[in-house]
Amino acid sequence: MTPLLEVLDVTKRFGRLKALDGISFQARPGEIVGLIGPNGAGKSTAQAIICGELLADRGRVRIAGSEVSAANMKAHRQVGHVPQRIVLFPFLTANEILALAAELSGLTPAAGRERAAKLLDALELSEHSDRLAREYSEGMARKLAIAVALVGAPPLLLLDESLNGLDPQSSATVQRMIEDHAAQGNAVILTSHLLWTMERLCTKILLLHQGRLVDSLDRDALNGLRTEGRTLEDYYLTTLKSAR
Amino acid sequence: MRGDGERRGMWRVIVRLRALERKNRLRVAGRGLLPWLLVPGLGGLGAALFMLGQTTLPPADLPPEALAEALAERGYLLRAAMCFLIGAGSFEVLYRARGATNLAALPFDSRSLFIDRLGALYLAHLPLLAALALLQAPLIEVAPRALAVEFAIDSLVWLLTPAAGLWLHTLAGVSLLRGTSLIKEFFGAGMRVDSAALMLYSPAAVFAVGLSAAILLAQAFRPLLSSSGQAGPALVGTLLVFTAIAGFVLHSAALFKRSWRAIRARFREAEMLPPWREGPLPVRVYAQSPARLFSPPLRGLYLAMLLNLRRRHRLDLMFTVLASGALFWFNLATTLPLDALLAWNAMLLLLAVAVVLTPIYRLTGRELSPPGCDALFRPPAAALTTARVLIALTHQLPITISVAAGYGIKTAQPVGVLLLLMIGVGAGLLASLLYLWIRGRRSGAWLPWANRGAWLLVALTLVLIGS
Repeated sequence: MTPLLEVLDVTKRFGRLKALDGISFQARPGEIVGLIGPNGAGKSTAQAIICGELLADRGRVRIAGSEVSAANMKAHRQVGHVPQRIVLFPFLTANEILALAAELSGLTPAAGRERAAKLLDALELSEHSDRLAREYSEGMARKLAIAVALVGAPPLLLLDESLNGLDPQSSATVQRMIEDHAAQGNAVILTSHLLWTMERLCTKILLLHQGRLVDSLDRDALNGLRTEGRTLEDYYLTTLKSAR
Repeated sequence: MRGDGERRGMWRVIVRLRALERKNRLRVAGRGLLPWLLVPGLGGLGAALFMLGQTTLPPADLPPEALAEALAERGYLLRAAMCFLIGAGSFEVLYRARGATNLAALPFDSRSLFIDRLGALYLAHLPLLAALALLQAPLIEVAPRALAVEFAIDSLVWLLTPAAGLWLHTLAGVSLLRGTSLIKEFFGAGMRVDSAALMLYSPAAVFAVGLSAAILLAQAFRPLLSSSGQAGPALVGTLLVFTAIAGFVLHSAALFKRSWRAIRARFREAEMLPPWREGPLPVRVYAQSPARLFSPPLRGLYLAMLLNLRRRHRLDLMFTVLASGALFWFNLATTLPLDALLAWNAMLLLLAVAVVLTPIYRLTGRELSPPGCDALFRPPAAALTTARVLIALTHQLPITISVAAGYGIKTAQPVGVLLLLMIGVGAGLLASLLYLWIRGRRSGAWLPWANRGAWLLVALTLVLIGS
C-alpha cells in the first residue's frame, strides 16, 4: 500500500538546538501513528514540519506523493492539524467557525453546514453551537478545534496532545472519531503523554528522544508487550533509560 | 513581606522587567530589516509632519488680529486631536495593554503597579507631543512668539490629559464594583451595559477635560502674544494645571491602593462576558454585504474577520461615523481659502490613516488572531491579507467619502474631490500594507511577491497621483 505520509531524513535546528535529527517514518492509509517521548523530544516540531508550518533544514516530507513546501497548497489541503495550544477566533460562534473551516476546505456552504452539524452532534457541542468561542471551556475549545480539523475530511490528520483536558466521555468520543477517520482510509498522527490511551488506540508507536527516533513499535510488537505482561509505560521508561 | 501578601516598593523590579523585555525585544527585532528602516522611517515621518504643519499655516500677511484668530483655531484643532487620542489611548494603557495584564497575576503591590501604569501612560503618549511639536514648529516663520505660547499650551495639555485619564478611567473602574444604578441604566440604555456603562464614556470624559483645559489655557496664555502682555493669567493657569495633575494622581493612587485588584477582576469579567451577550448576538454587521461579491476563500475569511472584529470593538464604528460627520461639517462650515482647504483635507485624510491602522492592528493582534490560529485554519496568505486590508478600508472609507463629498459641495471642484478620494484610499492601502508587511516580516508570513508588488503599486500610484 502506498504511504500517505513519508517523512524522509528530516532535520530541524533552532539555533544551536537540534530539534529533529534525521528522523524518517511513514504512515499508510488506515494507520494511527503515535509519537511519544519526553517534553522537548521533537514531537510537535515533527507535526509542524509535516503540515508545512515549519520548513525542515534537511530531508523531505511527502503527503500522498506531493512534496510539502511553503508554496504547495495541494499538500497543505491534505492535512488537518490540531495544534497543542488551541486557538480559535474568539468572537465567532462554533457554527461560524466551522462554516469558515468548511469554506477553506473547499466545501460548498450546504455541504459544510451538513458536515458541521454532524461533527458538532458527535462531539456534543450542538447545544453550544451559537456561543462565542471565547466562552468555551478548554475542553470544549479542543473539541471544536478537532471538528475544525475534521470538517474537510483530510486524508492526513495531525493531533498534538488533543486528548488532554477532555472529560472521559469526550475523550472516548474523540478516540472513536479518530478510529473512524482512520478506518475510512485516512491516516492519523497523534502525540500524547497518555500512554495507556496511545497503547490502545495506535497501530504504530514511534518513540522520540532529543530529536532522534529511538525506537518504533508496530501493532504486533504492541500486542507482544501485552503478552509479556508489560505496558507501553514500562517499555517507554526502560527504553528511555537506556537511551540516556 | 506585608500581611496582605503584597510587597511594597516593587516598582523598581517592574522597571527592570520592562527594561529587560525591551532589550530582548530589540535583540529579536535587530535580526531583521526593521531597525535599518526605523531611523529613516522616523525621519521621513517627522519631515512629513513638519511639511503638513507648514501647509496648514495661515498666510503671514493677515492682519495681526486675524492671524492670532487663525492660529488659535489651528492650535485648538491640533490639541483636540491630541486629547481625543489620549482619551482612548489612556484607557487601553490602563486596562488592556499587555503591560497591564501580564503583571496583574503577580504579587506586586498596588503602589508599584500604579507607578508602572503612570509611567506607561506618559511614555505611550510621548510621540503625540513630539508630533504636535513638529506640526507647530513651522510657526517660527510666521509668528515666533506664538510658537512659544502654543508649545507651552500643548505641553500643559499633554501633561494634564493623561493624568485626567488615569483618574477618570480609575473612577469608571471603581464604578464597576458598585453594580448598576439608575444613572448607569440611563447611560447604558440601548447597549445593555449597566454596571460597565461609565467605562464606555470615560474616554469621552477625558477628551472633554483635556479640551476644556486647552480652551482655558489658550485664553490664559493669549495676553502673552502681545509684547506688553500680562504673564499673570498664564502663571495662574500653569499653577492650576499642576495642582490638578497632583490632585488627579494622588486620588488615583488612593483608588488604586483600595480597589485596583478588584477593578481588574471585575473588568476581566466584563470583558469575558461582553454586554451584548445579555441580548442576542449580532449576526449582521456593518460592511457585511460586500462579502457576496467575493469568491471563496476570501468570502469566508472576510466575513469571519469582520464579525470577529465588530463584535469585539463596537465603538470603533461609532468613531468612524462621528469623525465622518465632523469632517463633512468642517468642510461645509469652514472659512478657510479653497487652496488651504484642499491642503487641510489632504492632511486630515493622511491622519485618518490611523483609522485604518486601528482595525488592522486589532485584526492581527493576539486577541482576535491568537498565535497558532493559522495552524488550525490554514488560510491562504493572499486571501487573509486581502480580507484584513478590505476590512480596514471599510473603517476609513466613510471618512474619505465624507471629506471628499464635503469638499465637493463646498467648492464644486470635481478634480479636487477625485484627488481627495485617491489620497484617502491610497494612503489607507499603503498604511495597512506597510503594517502587514512589517508584521509579516516578524512572523515570517506575508504575501507572495507578485501580490505584494501589485498591491503596493496600486497604493503608491493612488497616493502619488493624489499628491
